Amino acid sequence: MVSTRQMTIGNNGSVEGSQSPTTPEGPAKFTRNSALGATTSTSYGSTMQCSKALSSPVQSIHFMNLPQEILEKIFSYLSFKKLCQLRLMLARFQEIKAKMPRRESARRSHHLACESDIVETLHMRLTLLQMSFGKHIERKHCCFFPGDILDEVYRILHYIKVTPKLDLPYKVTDELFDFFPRITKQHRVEQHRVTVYETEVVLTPVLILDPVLVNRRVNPRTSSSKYLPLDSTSLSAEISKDSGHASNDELESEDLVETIPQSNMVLRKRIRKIKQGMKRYNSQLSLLRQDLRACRRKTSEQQKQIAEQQKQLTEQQKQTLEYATRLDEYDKKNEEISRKFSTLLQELNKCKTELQYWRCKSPATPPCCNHCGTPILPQPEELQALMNQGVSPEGLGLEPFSELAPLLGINIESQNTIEEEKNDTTPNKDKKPFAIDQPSTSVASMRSPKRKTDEPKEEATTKKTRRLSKIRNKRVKV
Amino acid sequence: MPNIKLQSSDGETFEVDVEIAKCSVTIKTMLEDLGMDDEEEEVVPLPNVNSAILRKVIQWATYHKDDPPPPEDDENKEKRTDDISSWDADFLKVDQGTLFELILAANYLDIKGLLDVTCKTVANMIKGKAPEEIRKTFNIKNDFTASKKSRFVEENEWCEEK
Repeated sequence: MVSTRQMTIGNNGSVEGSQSPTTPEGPAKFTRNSALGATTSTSYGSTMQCSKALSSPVQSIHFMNLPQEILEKIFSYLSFKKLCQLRLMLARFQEIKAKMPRRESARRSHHLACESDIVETLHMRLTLLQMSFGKHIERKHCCFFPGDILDEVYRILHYIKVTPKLDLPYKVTDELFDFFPRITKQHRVEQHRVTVYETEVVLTPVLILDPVLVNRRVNPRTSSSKYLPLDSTSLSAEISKDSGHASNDELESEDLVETIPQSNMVLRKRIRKIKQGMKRYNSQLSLLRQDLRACRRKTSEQQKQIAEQQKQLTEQQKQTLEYATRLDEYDKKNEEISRKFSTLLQELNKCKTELQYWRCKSPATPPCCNHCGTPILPQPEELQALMNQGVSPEGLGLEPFSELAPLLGINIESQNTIEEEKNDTTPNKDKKPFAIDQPSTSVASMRSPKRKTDEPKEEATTKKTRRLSKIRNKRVKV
Repeated sequence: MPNIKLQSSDGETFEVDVEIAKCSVTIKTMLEDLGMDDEEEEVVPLPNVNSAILRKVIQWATYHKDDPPPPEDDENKEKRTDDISSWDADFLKVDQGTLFELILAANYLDIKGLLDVTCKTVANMIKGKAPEEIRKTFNIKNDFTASKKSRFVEENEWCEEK
């Protein structure tokens, strides 16, 4: 304790003296010593606070009194191996172990994860090689793994050692992955040819290699010196293969017998795998086929539906066309009907006018003169004519001829003449004086022949007009 | 160049170039946050650092003032301990107590370069030594029981064999 303290003081003093001569040494020393003396207590912070209070110079600051974070920082500069050794120093250092990554994901992010990956792949490859070659090595068919593989392994180990920062482990081991099957294949082919190797060296390779792999700090010299003879022997064996090839032809068949079952096994395994794959694919294929069929069915159904719908559409179009034509026909009919109605109306109007006229002229309403308003009586000739026809004027609603006479102002003479005329039945003579006497009634007399002819018609027309009026009334009601 | 006054825990004041003082991230942030004027004669008290250590720290900072900022720590990178410059190695040829105090001061003042180099020095002291030797160098008492020790020896088998 004391010796170290003295040493520190001396050392410090010398350093200070040499490097900062301008600064006063005395107080610096004293304060440092006082501070160091304080550091015997547990925590540094507290020691600094009470550094002035404690004046007695005691042991310098202890390594164990450094804060945890600084210890961690110091330990972070140490290798894992050293840390494991450090665990043995103190129970307190066991905390280091707790800081090691436990989870797989945490391990992934560790800076040695890459290296460990590579080493593990190497290990796996070598164990696989041992499995495939071990038997032959034991039977002394071959001495060891092919030298190329060992060279490659050493190349990788050296690469790991030399490169400070590794990334992408598969890049490093990629070549090895390509390398191994090729080598093994080559070797097997050679095995078929060569029977027995004249080798004495039989080694359990992986067991030797294992610690080398774990301790990645391999001394390349020692390792190479260890394995160089193996490589050379394998090379020599290869040479001997070629030389002994011709001489060992007889034994070749035996070796073939041995090797065939192995290859058969491999082949069978492969065939099994392929068959399994085939089955899988077949099931997938069948599923796909079913799906396809279902899809086809659906599409056909949909096509049918589409066709039906198209048919329906065409039918509907036809129907619409028919309806259109029918509508046109109806329009035409309507037009005809309207035309007919118009003609009918015209006729009816005519009839109306006729009727009005005939009403004016009808015997039920005694006709009046348009000018004087005096009722116009039928001419005696007309009456006579009616009489001759066997129609009594009373029957027609007319007064008897004799009564009408005074009204008409016709002198009795003329009446008499008329009676005479009736008797004589000579109307031609009487017509003239009548015409001369009554010029005022010329219009009526002019129409008289018509009248006579229309009289039977008149009745018919009246009937007709009644009917028409009835129809009209009905229409109006409607 | 503007100067700043730093006061150690034992009352000694050191007038230092501000740029040198700014090696310490603690002082740098303090100056930035408080916005101290250059003319002011205010003293920055550093209660956790005594004058001897502060002197050494200033010495180190003066030498390294033109250094580029140290790179950020990369967790996934294996750290090296053999890249200590010869000046630093010479500078750190001090007793353990001073070294540890320098570590603490560097930690308190947040001077990454100094902290790195001092920690590396300690790590180098540990490296290449057996546990018993380390115990001796750091004066650590063995607090292992025999059973515990045997267990750890068992666990450590892989790194013991060579």
